Amino acid sequence: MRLLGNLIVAIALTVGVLAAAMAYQISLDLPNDDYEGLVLTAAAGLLLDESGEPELDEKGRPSPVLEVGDPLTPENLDVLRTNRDALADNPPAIAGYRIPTGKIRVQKFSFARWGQKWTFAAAVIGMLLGAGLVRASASRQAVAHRESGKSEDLLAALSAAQVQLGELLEQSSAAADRHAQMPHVVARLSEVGVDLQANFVEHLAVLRSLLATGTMAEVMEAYAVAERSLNRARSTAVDNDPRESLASLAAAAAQMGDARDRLAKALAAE
Amino acid sequence: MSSTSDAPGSSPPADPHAPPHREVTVAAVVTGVIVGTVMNASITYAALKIGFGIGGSTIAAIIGFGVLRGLLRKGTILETNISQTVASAVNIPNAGIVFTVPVLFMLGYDLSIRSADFWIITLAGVVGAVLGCAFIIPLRKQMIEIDRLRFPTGTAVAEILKSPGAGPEKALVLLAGCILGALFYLPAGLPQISFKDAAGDPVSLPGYGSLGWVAGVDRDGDGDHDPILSDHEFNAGLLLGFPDEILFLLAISPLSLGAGFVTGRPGLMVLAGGVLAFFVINPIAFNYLDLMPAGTAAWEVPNIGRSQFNRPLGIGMLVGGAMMGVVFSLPAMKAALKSIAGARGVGGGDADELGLKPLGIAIVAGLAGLFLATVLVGGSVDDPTGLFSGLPNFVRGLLLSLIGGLWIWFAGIIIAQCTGMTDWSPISGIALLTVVVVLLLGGKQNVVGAVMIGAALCVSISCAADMIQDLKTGHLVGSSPKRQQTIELAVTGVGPIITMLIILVIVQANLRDKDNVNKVPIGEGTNTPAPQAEALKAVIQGVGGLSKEQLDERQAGAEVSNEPTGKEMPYSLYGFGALLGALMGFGGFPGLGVLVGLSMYLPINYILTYGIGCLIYMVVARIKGKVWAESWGVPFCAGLIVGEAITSIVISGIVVATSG
Repeated sequence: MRLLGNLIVAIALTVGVLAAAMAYQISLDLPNDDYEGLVLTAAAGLLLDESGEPELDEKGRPSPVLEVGDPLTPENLDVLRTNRDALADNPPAIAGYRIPTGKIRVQKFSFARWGQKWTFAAAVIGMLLGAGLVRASASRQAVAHRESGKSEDLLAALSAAQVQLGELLEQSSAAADRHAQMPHVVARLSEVGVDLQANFVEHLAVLRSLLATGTMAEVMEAYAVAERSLNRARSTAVDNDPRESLASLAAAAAQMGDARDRLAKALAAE
Repeated sequence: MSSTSDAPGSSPPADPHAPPHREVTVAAVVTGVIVGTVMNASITYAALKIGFGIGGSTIAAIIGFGVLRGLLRKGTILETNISQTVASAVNIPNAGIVFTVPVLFMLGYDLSIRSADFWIITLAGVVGAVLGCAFIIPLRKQMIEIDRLRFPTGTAVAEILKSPGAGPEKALVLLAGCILGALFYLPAGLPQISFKDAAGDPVSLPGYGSLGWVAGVDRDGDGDHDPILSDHEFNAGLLLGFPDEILFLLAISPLSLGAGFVTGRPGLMVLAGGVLAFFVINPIAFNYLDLMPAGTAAWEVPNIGRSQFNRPLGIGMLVGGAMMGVVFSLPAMKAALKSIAGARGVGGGDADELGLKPLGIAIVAGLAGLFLATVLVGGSVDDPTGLFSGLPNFVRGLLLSLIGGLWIWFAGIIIAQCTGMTDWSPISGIALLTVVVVLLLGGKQNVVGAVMIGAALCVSISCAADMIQDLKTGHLVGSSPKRQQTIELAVTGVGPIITMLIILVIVQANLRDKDNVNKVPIGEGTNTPAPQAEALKAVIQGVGGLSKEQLDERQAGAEVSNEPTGKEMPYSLYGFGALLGALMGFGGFPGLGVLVGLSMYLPINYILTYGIGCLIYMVVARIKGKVWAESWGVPFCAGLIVGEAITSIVISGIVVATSG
């Protein structure tokens, strides 16, 4: 459904752009009064010689009948209409050029004169429809996610991380050579980080569906503080600084416990 | 200048005499300032040339890694993070200035180094940088810790920083990219340099065009066969026999290619807009809808289509897309306000966050600076056309600076959200809105004031997006947010000064360029077309903003003709574009209209080269894996970007030097 929605948006956008591009393009068949005060914003018509062939300049380019800024007086309109009819009766072929069909561009916009207004309206509806399909698809995905319900797993993920961090801290602090212990700290913290990402962060949509926004924010702030300390412990371990790394590890373990407690309390209150 | 950890909790027994962990150090700050300055200069030029800026955090991280860990052999991950934070803080304000300030040159206003306006606008840029950082800091918890926005570049930089032992190798890859980028670009840039031969005639250095690779046609009738390879472009369409109305033109720009690779898949939206305009809309308009002026040759269709409808529609989409971004960001605003109130309520705030007091001081100082700049610029214009006309200059300045400050804060939230979700920030769209609103409020004759506030806003939101991105990186490597925030606030004001001076150098180079027969300071007809500023110029003129020449004439009492000329602004196209841009945002990505609109009026040659870079990233990520593409492809492409930009700056310097 998402793909279909996006496809509809793309097609409607193309149609809408083309229809909009024709907003200043008008027909030569309106009553002369409708052209009062209008001037051309694009050259119009093709000059023809006596044999009905387009007149070409020294570079082989056809010359227009009227130029930008020329007013659409009744006389000019007659010239353009005559030229249009002549081109329609005996259409010349010039390689690399298209023969004008009698549409002209003017400086003022008018809904009444805009021939593609309903096409544009259809494009607008198409874009809304496509966008609606995309949004409906997103909503269905969200509902399915919400109904899966894994709050206990999330709690367990934080508990497991707290235990792992505590064990690593204990093991590393007791080591005779703490510098030599640092590669192990890096490896273990990377594993803990991957586990947390897979078992907690990837399932936050579940938590968002269960907790009020304020409560969710409190839990996530506590978790983020622990996560940052864990990251700091890893970075400083990479740089072989046991003092900073183990201090950060101790902080991370404590803060992960705090986050777990907050989550447990929040879930119990729901 | 070193410091110890703030991490709370019970620490195990440790050596009390061990030195504190290296984090904020002199080496980190000095390296960051130097790298940031070079990047600022290079990217300023690049943005003026191709129309969009390049985020520099990745490059800064790699260079910082190479210097601190590789050369000095004592840098830590956290120290490198601080260095990268400083570098990107010095670099990023260019993104705001290059979109706005060049329009004043295009409209004929005097911005020489001796003009007061130059320094007032520079002050506004500095103020914007400080405000952007100060406004976004309180939202760190909301965006990074609670919403957990991804910030792709911030995440990528963290990955680089976390890869131990790979510093020197990555610096070498970057250097290789740099050299290749410079060598590849050199033949495109060399023809700008000319010397006088023995007879006193100017002779240009040879470039790609000198190879004489031409097609067997002469479409423009100038007597020469059309080039497949010119100094700056490769006409693949001509080589492959594409219809003339479809322009398949590739810019010879390793910078654009590298930028596309670094952007990756999200950049395809930009490519899609360009393809829509130049491969779909233009051919249909020419072949079936009679939308081109009579006598238009097929090969002229891309340029005429761009000026007649693609550009106004594209600008409209930018504005509409940006407005839709504002609407969809209202819930984020509410959450942000709650977050600020929450931080205030914890009695001085988190120990790891910069407190509200220093932030308050920075904000008040910033707003005072904005007020001063607004009064100084506004005082020179007696304009009856604005909503605030008739008010004393002091009051008008106060109102404009307060509204500007509020909008800066608001826009910063939008941009930071966009960056977090997509890595892309619609600075230009917001800038267009800002300048138009200020013109309507302050008066249509006060173009300098409007652009100045637009520049302050653009710098501000660029800095906000950069800072929140850096804070994301910091979170992932375990840096202290407070230290990052403090150091970024301290150095970010340097960036606007560097950018303004570089723009002056580029303008001087353009004015001395032998090919610039009309002596255009910047914009179309020069080597720095500044398409974003061109778009802003069109909008300013569309709402009645005056060029310097028109302003002088009006102040001299000259009558202004109201007769139609056929060159009137197609207001309705802007409006319909805005509607389409807004509608594109309904599908779940509010910024889509801005992306597509942007690419509809940018030059297609850069868009296509950029798009190829995006596609190469996707292929590489598919074959070698995303990690490999990020770890090795991104540094290499960052080198391509830096290589071309630095080469271009050097060539500009030579042009200035040799032309006296």
